[in-house]
Amino acid sequence: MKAAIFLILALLVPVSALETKISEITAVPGEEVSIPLLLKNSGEKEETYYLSYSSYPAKIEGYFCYDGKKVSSLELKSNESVGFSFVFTAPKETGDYQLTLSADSSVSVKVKVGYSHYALEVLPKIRGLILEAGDTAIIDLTLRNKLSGIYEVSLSCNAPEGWECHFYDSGVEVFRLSLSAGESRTIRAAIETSSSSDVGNYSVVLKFNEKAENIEILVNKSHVNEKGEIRLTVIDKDGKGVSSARITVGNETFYTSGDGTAIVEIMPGTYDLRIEKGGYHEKTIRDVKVKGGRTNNLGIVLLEKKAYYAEITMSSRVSATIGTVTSIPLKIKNLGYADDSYALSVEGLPYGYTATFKEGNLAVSGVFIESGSAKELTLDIFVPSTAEPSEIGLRVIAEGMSTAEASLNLSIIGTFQLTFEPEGGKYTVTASQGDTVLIRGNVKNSGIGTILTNIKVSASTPGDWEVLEVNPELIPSLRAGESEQVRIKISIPSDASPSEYRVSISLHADQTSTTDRITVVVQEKGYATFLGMAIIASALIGLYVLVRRIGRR
Amino acid sequence: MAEIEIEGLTKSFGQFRALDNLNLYVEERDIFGFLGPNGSGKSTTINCILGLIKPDSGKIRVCGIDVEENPLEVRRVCGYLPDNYGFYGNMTAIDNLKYFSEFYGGISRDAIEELLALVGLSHAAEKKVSEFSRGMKQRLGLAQAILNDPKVVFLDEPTYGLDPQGIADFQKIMKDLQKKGKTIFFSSHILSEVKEVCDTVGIIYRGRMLRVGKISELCGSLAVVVQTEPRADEGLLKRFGRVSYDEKRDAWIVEVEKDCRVELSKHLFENGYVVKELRLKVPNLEEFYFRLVRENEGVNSG
Amino acid sequence: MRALIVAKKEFVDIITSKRFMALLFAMVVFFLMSVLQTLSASRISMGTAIGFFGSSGIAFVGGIFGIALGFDMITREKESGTLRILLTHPLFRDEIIIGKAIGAFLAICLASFVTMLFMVGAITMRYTPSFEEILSLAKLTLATNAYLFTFFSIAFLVSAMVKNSSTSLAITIGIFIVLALMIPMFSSVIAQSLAGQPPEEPFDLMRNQNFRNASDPRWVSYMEEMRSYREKVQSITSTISVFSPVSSYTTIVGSLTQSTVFRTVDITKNILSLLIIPAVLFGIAYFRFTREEL
Repeated sequence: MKAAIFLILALLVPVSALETKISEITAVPGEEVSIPLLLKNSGEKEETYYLSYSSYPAKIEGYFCYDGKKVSSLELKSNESVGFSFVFTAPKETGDYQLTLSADSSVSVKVKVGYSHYALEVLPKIRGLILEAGDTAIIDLTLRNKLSGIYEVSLSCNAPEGWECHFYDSGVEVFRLSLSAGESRTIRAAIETSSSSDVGNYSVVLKFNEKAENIEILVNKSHVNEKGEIRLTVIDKDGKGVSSARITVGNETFYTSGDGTAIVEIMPGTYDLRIEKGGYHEKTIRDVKVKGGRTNNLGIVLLEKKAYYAEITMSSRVSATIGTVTSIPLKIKNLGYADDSYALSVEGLPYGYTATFKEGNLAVSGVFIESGSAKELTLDIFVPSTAEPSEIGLRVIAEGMSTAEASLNLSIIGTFQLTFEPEGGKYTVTASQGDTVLIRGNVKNSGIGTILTNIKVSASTPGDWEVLEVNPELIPSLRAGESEQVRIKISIPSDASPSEYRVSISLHADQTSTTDRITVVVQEKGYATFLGMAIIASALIGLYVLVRRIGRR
Repeated sequence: MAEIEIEGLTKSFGQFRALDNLNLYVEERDIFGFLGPNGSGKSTTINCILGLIKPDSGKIRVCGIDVEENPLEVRRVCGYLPDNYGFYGNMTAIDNLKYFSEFYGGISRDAIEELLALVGLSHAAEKKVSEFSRGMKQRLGLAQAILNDPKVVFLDEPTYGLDPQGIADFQKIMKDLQKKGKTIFFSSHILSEVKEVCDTVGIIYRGRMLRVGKISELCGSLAVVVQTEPRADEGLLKRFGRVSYDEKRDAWIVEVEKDCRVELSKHLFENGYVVKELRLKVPNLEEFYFRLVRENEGVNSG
Repeated sequence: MRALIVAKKEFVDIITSKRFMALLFAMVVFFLMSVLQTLSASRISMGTAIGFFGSSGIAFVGGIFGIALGFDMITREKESGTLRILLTHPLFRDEIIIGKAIGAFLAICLASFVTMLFMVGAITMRYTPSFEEILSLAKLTLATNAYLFTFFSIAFLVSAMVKNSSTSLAITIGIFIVLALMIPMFSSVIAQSLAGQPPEEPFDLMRNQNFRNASDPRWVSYMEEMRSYREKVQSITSTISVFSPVSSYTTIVGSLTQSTVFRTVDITKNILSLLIIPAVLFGIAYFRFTREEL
């Protein structure tokens, strides 16, 4: 509104005349433009002219400049004319602008803001390249600003998927350049091919503002589905390689070797590398690029030792028998670079259990370990006899400047014992030849806190004695303290020599077994003796009678 | 028919000719004396007769039984007391006789006891023969020879080892048997015995019969040689028989019918003579015998 | 039948003689000791009991028994003159010899039977033997019988051939030593000398145990030769053993103890030998005696 009023006023008062020879001006966005102006005071008196401008549709920043100075008004004597300029920066937005400059009267200049193709000359030195997949093409370009003013160039490119473009100016990555008038600048374009690109022809378009330059790239070798390599050496502050440091790359874990080096083979991509080791501060290396068939050598990575760090090495699962003391060996390592003392404790012990740490034969409650050393201790845990078989989770804690912990799963087990008790406590049985002997007894689980399962009962006898019956042959289970009666029938052959014999009763459970012996004393049949003697006697008598009868005196 | 008939009996043992075409006939009820020196073939002849030895040639018949055909039958009817024999020492006299009797079908115990009584062994019937003296064995031998009541009894040197009493008993038994009708074949080289008992004699020498015949026929009669201190009066002796004087022997020879030496000695003693010798002289049988043998000795050795 | 008269007398003579009683006693004691030894084992088995009998000790005693009975059977009669007297009675020479053999045989049978009864009695005192076991014992008795009679026939033959008892005994004992001791001892040596040299082992193969390769043809042929050589030795040895009554007896006894699991040893040869030998020897004695003249 104001502008309209100004325009009308300017037109109405032609006393002064603001003139410019430029009606249309082209500018590159951001370009500083200077429009020369002439102001004439055709009036009689001295006048002060206030300078202003407006722009449409957007604001154009500018100022009036006279004699190298910013002015906002000018004083003119009558019939004096002065030349000055309006300096403005072409707005970033391309397009047409109307610039109205007023000093009593006004002039309007059309400002065309845009990139002119012709403003820039690009000379790629290379037009076509042959690369292996994963390689980076380096193209040096020369940009010449043909304009007489500053020319800003935005750098971008269209590249196939997975490829990347970067522009470098004097080693620094740039995405926009400001070329002064007539300036030629050599920049570098780096086109990174993807290592998974197939063999073939590709085209990359480098764009300078609107200007496009086509680069043909022929990929002659592909590393598709090939793993790439990351190499690194992890050292500590003493320059020594850190061995067994854990390197996590993506989903995979690698470890450094004895001298701290690691070679990570992994599918192409960009990864974060996390390097960890007990006693050291963790280190992460981000955005490690891996290209198929290529090695990314990260060089030396420094891992800092922690001052205080301890580790406990111990079995994670131990069985302890009820009513006994179980000794568990453990090792405490001081991996920090400072000596430390550790207070030893066990958490999670139920009532009645005791835990004692021992160094050699001496009970200790704490240890002093020098940096880099380890101490071997024994943890004695006593399980009271009232305990039941169970699983107990314990934590062994070594508390120093740094605290180390280890989990211990204690399996409380009972004792397994199987016994056979013959009836009446008799371990000797008497029988005659040809008899059948019955042995009765109890099979007892005499262990503590345990169940015995699948107890097989068997009997073994001398030679060809027959085991007629074993009842039962199998006892499915017996709790501690329980017993079950068994009957065993054995037949003694009728021609067994009268003597002492051993019969073995074997009990065989899943967990343990036992064998007991019963003595069987075999006596000869009563009449046998007499029968035998009778036969002998008859022989003697017969002989005697014969001799007497047919003999002579 | 003679009881024993031997014809042309010949037997050689290797080169040695024991019997050389021997011929002999012994009559029934005869006590035949078979004389000859040792080794002349006496035992061989008897063995052949009994079928114990098989002759090279010749025929023998005993009681009409041909020995070659029926040796067992011959032994069944004969009895034999061999010159060297033995009994089962572990058995008693009775048991021995009983054993032998079984081959004849067995004899009753009484009969055996009778037999033992006959030979004078009743007291030793139940005694083991191993405890017998020589004489007892000899008697037992005689007993077993007549065990089967044989018709012919062969006795080979039967009085060997017997004391005079035994000899006398023996001779008595011999005579008894003859009375019973048995034939006795008595083999001996003791001429005196033969003279005493036998009727007929046969002299065998080197396997051949030199002579067979009655004694009286062959060699004269019986005589007693008397030698006394001092020399007896001839007259004293005359009552006994014909008296002659042998100068060589400085003794009286009295020809007698039978053996009367007992009376003679009594008579002489009564008359104050001490008897130095009172010998029964077999009627020249010895002379006859020796002469015969000497004659043939020359023949055979020539 | 006259032979039976002789047999009866002989039989009575033998069984009433001190000699027989002593021998019978010795045999019974020996057998009983063997039985008692096995009874002390944990398991009475007829087999082990019989096994003892096969030991050469028993064979020795048995041999002596047979010899003691037979060595003067004929010579005694000759020496004492009883033969002479016997022959004056109606019986043949062959009847005498047959009668003697029968009498002796019956006496041996009696001895065996009495011994067997003793064994059965002793065993029964400890346990009741089964029928098969008694049968085994009976077989053992028969075998022992044949064995005793074999040695008797050897002695009998010698007695028929020689003039006096002492010579007869000496010769018989000599024969016994050869049969009972020497032949078994030396049978393997004799067999080997008769079979010739064993095949030579390929020397170079001997050196290296590793190369005793079944596929090496030289080794294979050597094994073949060795096998046939061993068979030859074996057959010679068993043939020799047939001539030794001791070996035959121990073999037969051994076979009685064998269970059916093992291959049954062919004992017919041995049985036949124990039957044929006495028959042959007796036949010779018979001929000799009957051809003899007084």
